[in-house]
Amino acid sequence: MVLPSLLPENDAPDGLDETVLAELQTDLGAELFGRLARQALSAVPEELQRLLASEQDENLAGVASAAHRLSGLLGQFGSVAVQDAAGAVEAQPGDLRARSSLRVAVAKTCEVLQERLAPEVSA
Amino acid sequence: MSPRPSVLVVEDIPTLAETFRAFLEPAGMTVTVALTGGEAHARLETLLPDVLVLDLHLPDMTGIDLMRWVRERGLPCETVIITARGSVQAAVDSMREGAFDFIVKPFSADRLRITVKNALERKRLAGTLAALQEVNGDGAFAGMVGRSTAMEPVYRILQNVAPSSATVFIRGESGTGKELCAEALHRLSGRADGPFIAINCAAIPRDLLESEVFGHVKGAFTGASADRKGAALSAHGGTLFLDEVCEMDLGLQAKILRFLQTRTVQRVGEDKARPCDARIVCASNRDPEAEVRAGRLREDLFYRLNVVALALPPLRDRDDDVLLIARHVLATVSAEEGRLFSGFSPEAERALLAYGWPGNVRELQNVIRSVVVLNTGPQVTRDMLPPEIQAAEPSGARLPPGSPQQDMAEGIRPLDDVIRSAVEAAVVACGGNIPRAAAALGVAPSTIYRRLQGWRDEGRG
Repeated sequence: MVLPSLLPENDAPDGLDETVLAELQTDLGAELFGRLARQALSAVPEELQRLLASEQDENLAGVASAAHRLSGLLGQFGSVAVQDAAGAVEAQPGDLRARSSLRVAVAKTCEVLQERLAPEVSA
Repeated sequence: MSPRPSVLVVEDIPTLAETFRAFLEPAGMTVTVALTGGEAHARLETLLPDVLVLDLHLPDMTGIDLMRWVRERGLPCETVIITARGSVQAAVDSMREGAFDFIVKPFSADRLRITVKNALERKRLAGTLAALQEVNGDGAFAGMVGRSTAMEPVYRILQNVAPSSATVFIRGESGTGKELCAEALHRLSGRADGPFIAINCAAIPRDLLESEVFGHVKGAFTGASADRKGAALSAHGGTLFLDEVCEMDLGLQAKILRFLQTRTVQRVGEDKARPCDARIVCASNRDPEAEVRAGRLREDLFYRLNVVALALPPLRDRDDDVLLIARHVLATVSAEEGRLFSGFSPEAERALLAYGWPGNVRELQNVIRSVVVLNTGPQVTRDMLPPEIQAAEPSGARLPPGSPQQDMAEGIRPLDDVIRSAVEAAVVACGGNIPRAAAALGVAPSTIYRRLQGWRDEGRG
């Protein structure tokens, strides 16, 4: 997964809602949870590329749309940080700080998820 | 078991769509996924879901646009909106557009299931409400015409039992509308979109009835030149109505019982049992308990079929329903026959009300069809009716002098005197035949004998 090159170097809290994550694992079962988590993580780089392309084209609607999709992808796994950061970008797609915060939140969430789901993701 | 409710999930993120599917399918729902608004349009052209689970943000349109598209087409489905945190205002706006509810991501499987089940329940209630509104409007309940007191318990039972999967045994004299009642039950149930298959067990030769109900394979017996699906399998997902079920022979009754127990059917000439999800509604104009006592109806089958008993009243007990039905039939038949009848004269209506209708609604329908075919409009007059109906008089008009109606005009009298006058008048009118007089008065003969004895004992007889 090619994430670090797109990310700024600052740090952010995990921002993961453990209750949501545990509930989802229970609801889906380990196998389906692992498969969907793998799919979601593999879709993240494409969405980040879409975000970057929209920024380069100064396409603010595209920026907001990419932020929304990232929120959907990772929010289902309890990433409050991504949901909040994406919400800020959707509200103000031209805000560079908000975009930066979104990238940070996405990176942290992906790292944490990969660690948590290591057995499933590597399966 | 009712058919599986269907849900169309419109969500552009595949992992979310799959998660929603995984949440809903274990709850007995059939889930279809569309990843774009355009794909949802295409799905909705061929599939009518009970509930739409809709993301507000779609790549090619908004969820609100899709809701409006659904509403413009009058598609009877409920919508549950899925929204992200921070987009709650948009979700609230969607409810103003008619969405049933919204859920903020992320949410648990239980949360989604409960919301969708609530939406399904509202859809069911909306169907029931529409049926009830029909009663208030033109006097029809799910296709059944009439609003008499005698029909109120029928409608109440239909309304309560329709959503369940319980078997229903409809009793009633010939012509009271048992099949119409079964159809109403089907229309009010969650199976309304499925088939309604009716079989009249009395109209089919006994040796052919099994293959009519369960089907057969080619060559199963002489004359079986091709495979036949049978009524039970044809009713899969809907309702199978077995009319005159008491006419079924005992061998076939055993097979019906097995079908009810296993929910599988075996076509004649085939070993394989096939699953069949059909709700059974049956009817008879006989007394089923008497048929059980006589050994003509299996007791175990009767108890399986009679989970809910529904008794249809004869037309003579339905007060002004006679006129409501007559007007309804007149309008329908006039249109079918290209005639211009618009109603009945007051004299014709009085005659219709006075007649006893031993053949019930079926007789009324036949009389009106005959009148329409043999006459021209615009009004049905008394002289167009058959002689026996023209001759019918309200019971009071046939009473001799001293009848309650005449006495009333002269002033109020003690109730016992009024009863005695009515009884005596009835006995005279019936030539001294007490059982006939009792039937005319709507009481048991023992009531008349007891009254007469009492008056004799008082020295008044």
